[in-house]
Amino acid sequence: MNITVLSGKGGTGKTTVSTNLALSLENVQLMDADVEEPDSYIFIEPDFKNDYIPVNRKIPVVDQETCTGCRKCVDFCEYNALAMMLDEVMVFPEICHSCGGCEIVCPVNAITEKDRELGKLKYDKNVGDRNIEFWQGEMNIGEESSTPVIEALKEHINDKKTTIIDAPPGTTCPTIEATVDSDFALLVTEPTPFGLNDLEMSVEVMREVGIPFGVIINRSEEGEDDLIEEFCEKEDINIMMKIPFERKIAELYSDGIPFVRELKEWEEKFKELFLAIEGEINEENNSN
Amino acid sequence: MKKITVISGKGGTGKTTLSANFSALAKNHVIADCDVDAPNMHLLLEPHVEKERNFSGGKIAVRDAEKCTDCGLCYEKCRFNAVNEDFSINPVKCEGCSVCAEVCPVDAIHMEAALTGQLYESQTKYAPMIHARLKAGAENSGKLVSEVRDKAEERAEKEGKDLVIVDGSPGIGCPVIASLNGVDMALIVTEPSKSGLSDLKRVVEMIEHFDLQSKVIINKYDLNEKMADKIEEFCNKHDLEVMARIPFSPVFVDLLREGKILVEEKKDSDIAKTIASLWNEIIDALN
Amino acid sequence: MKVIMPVKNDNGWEAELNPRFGRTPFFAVVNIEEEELEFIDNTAQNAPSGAGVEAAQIVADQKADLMFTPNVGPRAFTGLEKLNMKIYLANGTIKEAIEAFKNDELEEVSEPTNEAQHDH
Repeated sequence: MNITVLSGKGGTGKTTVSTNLALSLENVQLMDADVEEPDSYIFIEPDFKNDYIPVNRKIPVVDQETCTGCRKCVDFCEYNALAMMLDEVMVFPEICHSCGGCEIVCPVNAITEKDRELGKLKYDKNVGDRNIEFWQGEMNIGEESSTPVIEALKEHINDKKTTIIDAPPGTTCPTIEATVDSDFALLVTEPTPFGLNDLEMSVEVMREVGIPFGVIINRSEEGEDDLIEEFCEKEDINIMMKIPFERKIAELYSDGIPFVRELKEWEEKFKELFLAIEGEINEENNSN
Repeated sequence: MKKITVISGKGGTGKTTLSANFSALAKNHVIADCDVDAPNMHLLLEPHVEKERNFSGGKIAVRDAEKCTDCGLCYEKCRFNAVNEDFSINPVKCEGCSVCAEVCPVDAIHMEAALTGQLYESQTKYAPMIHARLKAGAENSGKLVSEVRDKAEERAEKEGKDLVIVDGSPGIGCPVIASLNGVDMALIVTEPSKSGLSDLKRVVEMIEHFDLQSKVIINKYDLNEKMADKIEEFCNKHDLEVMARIPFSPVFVDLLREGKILVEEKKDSDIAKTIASLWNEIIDALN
Repeated sequence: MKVIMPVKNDNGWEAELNPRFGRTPFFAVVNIEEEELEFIDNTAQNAPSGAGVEAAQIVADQKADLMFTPNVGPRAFTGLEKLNMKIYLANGTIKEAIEAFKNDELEEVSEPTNEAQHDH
């Protein structure tokens, strides 16, 4: 089963939810797909053993001798990753989308491909006393797109485990990539106008993508939650958990300590959350 | 005309709230909300939209099912899994590379400009504001961010404004880079947590490629003063000035809920004075 | 001598040079001796990415001897430095830039003037 934890707005508590949920379950795989700014490692404390799997994308290599200067490749490329300067075809790797089109259109087979690293996958298959299998995707700084790194990360999903994916904030391509193949999505929000605004966007996306989802209110406060509750009621959305706005929880977070470790009653609550998610997935499957 | 961009690396540090407060304090300026994925500034600044236009970030493949002979060549050649097994096109995955259109033997596929977002030119009570919103699932390449910036700078030049305040997006990718290009100063808003420090490190690595003044603001610093000190230590090591430490204030959030800006509503509060004097320091440093 | 310049509009000799090379709306092409001026459209203005590259391609295809520009980004520079064309830093109007050149006031560019625009 794959569960993606996401949020339209950054900083609402995706990592809080995904790490604490992972630490409350058995037979779990946690993937940090927030590849621009991965943070989960702080709470999980994996040992990556100074190793990583490179995430590569193909870029064209032009054999200038074979090239006849016809410019079909330059004219074809939608991203301007190729240009003809005097008699040489130049490649601009950072904007190449690796579509393979230039190779296809070249009439004299002057184009081949080579790998270029744009990110890294780090992992520790067995962390701590809960034996969590932890994966982290990292996009190299300056790269154009985080989506290929997230795609590469997903190739390592272990079907025999419950996989929790910590998605990047937002509603665009990378967030969708981290969500689209999951069985359930947890939308994390906060009871503020920013939180509501971005929750509305996330809900729109989830409905387009067609994945069952539930909402978690982080930094919940009595009297303030109605902003979110009203929206969820109107839209028939289930609020599956509320994490209160408590100094203790905030302090543990800022010190990089997962709060289920110190506040044991929360482990039970996350276990219950998981059962509720399973329930929702079964219901969804039965009605399909 | 000067340009200043507020970024954070990590989301939730208070970047947008601070940008909105700076926008209320500044004089003779234009505001650019470059967080085009999840724009929030409008919730505090209440812009009145004057002009709106469509934005196209690229192309999308469109298939004529009648012409299609089911040869499957498009499915074979598409590297983005955007061609489904029934050879229909998945618009969310399509990156507009046009390989499918190229290889189709019966010209059943053509490319169209994809409608990927909206660009707005608005007026707020403090200044003109340029903002935008990307459609869900769109690729955030930074192109829309650049258009927001271009429009804002064009407006500033035309109306003789001295300053453009840019609210950037979280992260360190191309949209953030596009919001930093050619600006005079970057303000990095961080929070006193291990995550905040971890994200700040990546921001600093990214920003080192730029030739611009960078300053750090530690927001909500009193939530964990030890971490705030660690952040300051890190900044010192990297020759980064910590311009201010702003205390946590539930008033900020309360006012946000009412759509109000602290430096206006609670002008005489200590925290408003801190922000106002910080803003004056920023202006001094810019000139 | 043929000179090419990125300009903000096509309003004759008073058109101002444009610091945004890749997405400039026009290029001005000047024959200095004949005092001839023409404007060409920059199709890269609306390019989804690599506007600097496409603009550089347009410049290359003009086969100018010189380019005057306030800015040139790293990708455009990487392409343009391969040409037999000298690039000078210049500002102001077309007329002013040419004057400055004639008075030996312009500096030749040896490296990109800024970071890549990242507006792919």
